[in-house]
Amino acid sequence: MTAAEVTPDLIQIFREEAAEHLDGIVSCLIAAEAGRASGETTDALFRHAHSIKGSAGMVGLQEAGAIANAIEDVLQRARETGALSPLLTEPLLHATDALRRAIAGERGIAPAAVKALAAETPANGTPAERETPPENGTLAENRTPEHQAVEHHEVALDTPRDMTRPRSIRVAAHKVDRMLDAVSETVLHHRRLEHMLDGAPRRPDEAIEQEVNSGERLLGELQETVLELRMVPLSSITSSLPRAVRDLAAAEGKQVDLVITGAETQLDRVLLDGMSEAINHLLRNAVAHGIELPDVRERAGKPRRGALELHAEPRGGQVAIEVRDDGGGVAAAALAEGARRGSLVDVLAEAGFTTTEGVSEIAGRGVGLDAVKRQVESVGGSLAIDTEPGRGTSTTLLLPATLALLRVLVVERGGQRFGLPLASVTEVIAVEQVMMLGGRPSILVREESLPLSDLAPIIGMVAPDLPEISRALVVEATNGRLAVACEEVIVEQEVLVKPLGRSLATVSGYLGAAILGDGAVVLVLDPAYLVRQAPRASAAIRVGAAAALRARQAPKVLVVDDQFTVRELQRSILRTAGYRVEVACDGREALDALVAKADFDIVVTDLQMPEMDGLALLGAIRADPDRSSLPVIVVTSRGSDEDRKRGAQAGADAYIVKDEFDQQALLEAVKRLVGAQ
Amino acid sequence: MRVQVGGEQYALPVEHVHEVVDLGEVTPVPGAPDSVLGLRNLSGEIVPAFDLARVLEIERDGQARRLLVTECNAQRVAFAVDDVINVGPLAGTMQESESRHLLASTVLDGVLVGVLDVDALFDSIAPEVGR
Repeated sequence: MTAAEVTPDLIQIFREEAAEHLDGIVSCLIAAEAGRASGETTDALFRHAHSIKGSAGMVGLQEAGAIANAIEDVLQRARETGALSPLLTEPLLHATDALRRAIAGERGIAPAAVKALAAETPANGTPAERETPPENGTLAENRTPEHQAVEHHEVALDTPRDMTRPRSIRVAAHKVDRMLDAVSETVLHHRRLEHMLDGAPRRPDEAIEQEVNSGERLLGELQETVLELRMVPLSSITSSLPRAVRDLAAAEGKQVDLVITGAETQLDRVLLDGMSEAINHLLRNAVAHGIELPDVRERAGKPRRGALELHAEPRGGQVAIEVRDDGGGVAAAALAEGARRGSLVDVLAEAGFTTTEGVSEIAGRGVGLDAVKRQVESVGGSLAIDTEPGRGTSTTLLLPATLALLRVLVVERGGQRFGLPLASVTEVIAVEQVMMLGGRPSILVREESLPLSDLAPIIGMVAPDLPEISRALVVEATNGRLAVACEEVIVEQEVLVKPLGRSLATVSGYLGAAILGDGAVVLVLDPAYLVRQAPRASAAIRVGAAAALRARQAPKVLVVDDQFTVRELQRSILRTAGYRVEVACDGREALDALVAKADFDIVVTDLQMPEMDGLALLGAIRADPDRSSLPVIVVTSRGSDEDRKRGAQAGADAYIVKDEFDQQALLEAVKRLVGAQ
Repeated sequence: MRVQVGGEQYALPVEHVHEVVDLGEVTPVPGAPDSVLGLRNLSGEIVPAFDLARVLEIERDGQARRLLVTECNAQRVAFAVDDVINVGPLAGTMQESESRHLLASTVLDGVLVGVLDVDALFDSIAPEVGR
């Protein structure tokens, strides 16, 4: 990040974050002074200073960076000697005070502070006896009680005003939610008003229109502002993580350094709340299964301390949260299985695969990852794992930055409207032919077969059969694709999605609910759930949508001819063209078939046949009120005009002469009468 | 507040009831338990509505017409009842009740009235919320 991009907001966030690190440094130093220091104390100190150093540079506070760097140097030496001398506490505390002021924006203090710290902390990590005060640095002055008091005064009254009392207020989250509800309702109210003006018999005058338009703009801004209120930085859930990781590592006999970067990245609060547990899971997995024991690491030529990083960054309209470790990577067996199945995530999400041979008591990687995957998918995000044997594993959660505003396609099924996230709908296609594959209906989308499912059974809805399946939505989620059939695709709309709430927390299948322009509440479907659930609901689909499938099946042709060769030739031609075909040997048999099965769309008949000839069949069909309009094509060897005339009089819709017979003529006639396949 | 649910009468402390609204348009939630009537738009807030008869596991003879809007852990939840009878002090001798949803029962105007335990109601619609 360049300094040009640093906004006042970002600096504010940095200051709030730095304040926590400073507090951390102080409490560690105090512990050290009290003789309660351990290797972990030094590490924690180091991390605090390191975090401040890194972020200070990013927001352009070079002085703060320089002081933090000097502190880090002292700590690094202490780390190497393996102990943090209590005598270091005072100089470090002084440097911390200077750092606090530099972070607050005070300039020109770094050189003196750095120099003073260096003078008081020689290279061997043990402070020199301070016989003579260092040069006229700020810190030197502090040592007289009088000046110390002044310094404290400044710290207490001056600097903290900027730092520890940020220009922000705490508001109960549900109040912000209520506010968002009220704003959204106002937006809907405005839309209704516009609608009424549009439908008014007399055009409203320009002044009114202008007011309405500016009202819309203002409301849009208001809505965005309120949505921003719900955004909180990742750091709001990370404060407990370093401690948790440290404890866990200790329990496992491992040494792990957790570094959190990009903690200022903002996400919708509701989303972040849900992700807290997922992030915890991933960190635990990394410590328990990723990072090796110190001895193992040493043998592999790695530092004894494992590096664990939690990193967040905005990525497009989304937010990526990555947990990266430099451990042993995923077991080869799982990798191979992942390559075979095309998804390492899916393999690891199933219980039974862990990256270590034995499963520790802390977390079977599989179970946890499955929960993480569900959690991420339930908010419309995705999960990716990247691993390199021996080098480490990186797990990335890609999340929408805000749950709230979502473009959805409103569809209807069983008289109820549902929203489907537009991002998950790759296309809406016209269904021409439904094929059965392994008892499951499928359709072809660009040469690829996709399972077709009725929306109703997937979500456990009781609805009448679909009258026909003419259009299907191709839905794509991280876990696969499927085609979903519903009654209608109504409109595309941007909606404010709200969670269903705790009382409906056990209901799965929905990202939440939203209010449409007309005030109706619709459920917003979870694409990943649809993909996951569809195969399980397939039995219900077969029963429920059987009628619908029939209606959209290929037209059925009845071929009537007494000659086997002719029958089979016609049958083969029509079959190849995609029609369903049944055959009969003469008029009588044909008539029986027509009565037995009412679903024929067209009859192709010979004229000369035993028992009942073609003309008699035609007459019988036309005389039957149920079938009088059934298209009939007459095929005969007789090419005389007289025959044509008789056929036409009997009600034939087309006439094909066998002598001139070619398959194109037959197909064209059928196509003209019942439609193409 | 005294309400009619199925052929029975129940009462609950009026301070638990934020408002009473007509059933209105309720969007069903496929896949949800039977006790969930659906979602109702209450001035821009999406509120889950539960059928009180189903929660109490009693027969409903008519259609629910009213919604009692209550609040449970900062989340609004509505219960559908046949009708609201009246609002007033609940006098009479309280008798202990064995039903898990009732605090007690009493006889009012010659009718047996169950006094609802609102916390227990919340508990049974969302067990994890009540604790």
